[in-house]
Amino acid sequence: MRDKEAPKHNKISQLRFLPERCDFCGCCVAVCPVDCIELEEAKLSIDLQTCILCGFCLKACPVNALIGEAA
Amino acid sequence: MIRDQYDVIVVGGGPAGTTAARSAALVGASVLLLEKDRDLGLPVRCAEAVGRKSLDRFMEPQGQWIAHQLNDVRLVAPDGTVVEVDTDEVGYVLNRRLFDQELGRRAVQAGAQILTRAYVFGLSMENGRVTGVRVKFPDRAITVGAKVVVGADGVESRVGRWAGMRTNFALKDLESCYQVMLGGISVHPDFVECHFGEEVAPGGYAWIFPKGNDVANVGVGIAANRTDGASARVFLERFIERHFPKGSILACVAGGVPAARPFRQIHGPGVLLAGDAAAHSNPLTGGGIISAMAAGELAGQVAAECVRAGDWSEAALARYTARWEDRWGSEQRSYYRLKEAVHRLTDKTLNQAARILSRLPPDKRTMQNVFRVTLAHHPKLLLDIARSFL
Repeated sequence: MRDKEAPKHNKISQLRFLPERCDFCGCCVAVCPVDCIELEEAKLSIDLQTCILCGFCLKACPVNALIGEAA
Repeated sequence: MIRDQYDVIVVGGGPAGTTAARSAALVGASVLLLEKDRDLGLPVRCAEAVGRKSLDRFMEPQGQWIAHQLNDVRLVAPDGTVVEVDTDEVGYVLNRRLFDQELGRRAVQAGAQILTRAYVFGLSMENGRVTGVRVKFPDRAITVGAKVVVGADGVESRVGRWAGMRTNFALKDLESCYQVMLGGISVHPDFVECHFGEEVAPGGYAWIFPKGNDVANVGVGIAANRTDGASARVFLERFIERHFPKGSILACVAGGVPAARPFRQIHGPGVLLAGDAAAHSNPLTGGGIISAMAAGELAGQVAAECVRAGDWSEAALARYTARWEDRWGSEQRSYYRLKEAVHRLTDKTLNQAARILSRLPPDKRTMQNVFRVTLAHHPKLLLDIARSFL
């Protein structure tokens, strides 16, 4: 019910993570519809095999630590 | 030091987790709380304000964890019109670092065990039911058994998802936030200020929560689906440039706040969710400390009672959802409806409403009237609000 807005098509062509900008707040994890982001104390890892390039994490990030090109 | 098996394992050491650990231990359960970070209470991802009456239910308001007392609320419309609201509710700005550590101390005092730098990265399951957690310490990874796992793992919660629940948030239901603790500024120490408007915070608001005359938590939350123009950090930079150009940043932090409709279920097979993990924060205000503690207390109780009765099946744990729903369900839903209504108002409507409200005598400027007057400009919203109370 909560992931009904999960897109069927890629919204971005690639996802890039800029760790130097990241505050490890977890906004990206909170909105990820496929649970492909792992957040430890000060470490964020993204499983790009599982990622569907929906772009939600980019939108949720308060500090622009995730960037991507529109598909 | 760490055992192979506990009655209850709590994931996350914020107010929901420590309160759950305490209440489960008070019922007699063996309890382990695992916190991924080094310290309870750090980093402080919170604007730190709570209402006094609500806090009083949990603890005496004394101690260093109260940073400051507040008396009134000022709402600021997009054009700068100020409405001072009579809330007859005193609030506190906490020192969350000390507050969370105090909650941890109380949990331990009740018999719970706490470990930090303990990152839970998965659950162990048998026949579709949770039997423990997989936890990584700096030097090793192990599995620890539990009859019930309480997921108090915050907005970024994954405990529920691992147990097969859908707990991720829709973009419009997550407030993307950035906050600084500003020093060297001049603020009225008695007032909380909330600024609204498309330019200030689309789908959210900017806040100034004083911690004295010259220090305040200043932050911005914007709906995550409305960040195309700029990120929360950029909105906050603009806000500070405009209101506090001479302020110094003593601390800064990013964060996400759930502003969602209540989940249909906050229990799963061997799992209970509490606090931000279960969207227990107030969808309109974003406040979530007290609701997290209340849910945590209930989760801990239900978990320990189920263990004591020898039945911690999903059906037995369902009483947690039922009891939460009974007490807070309709309240949360009506706040959600209000949030949706308020976020649909245009800057023009907000300005008009603020002008009318600011002309009312002070004792008539209650929160209730704020909504009444604001909504009078938008009759369709009245229907929405009315429905939210049915």
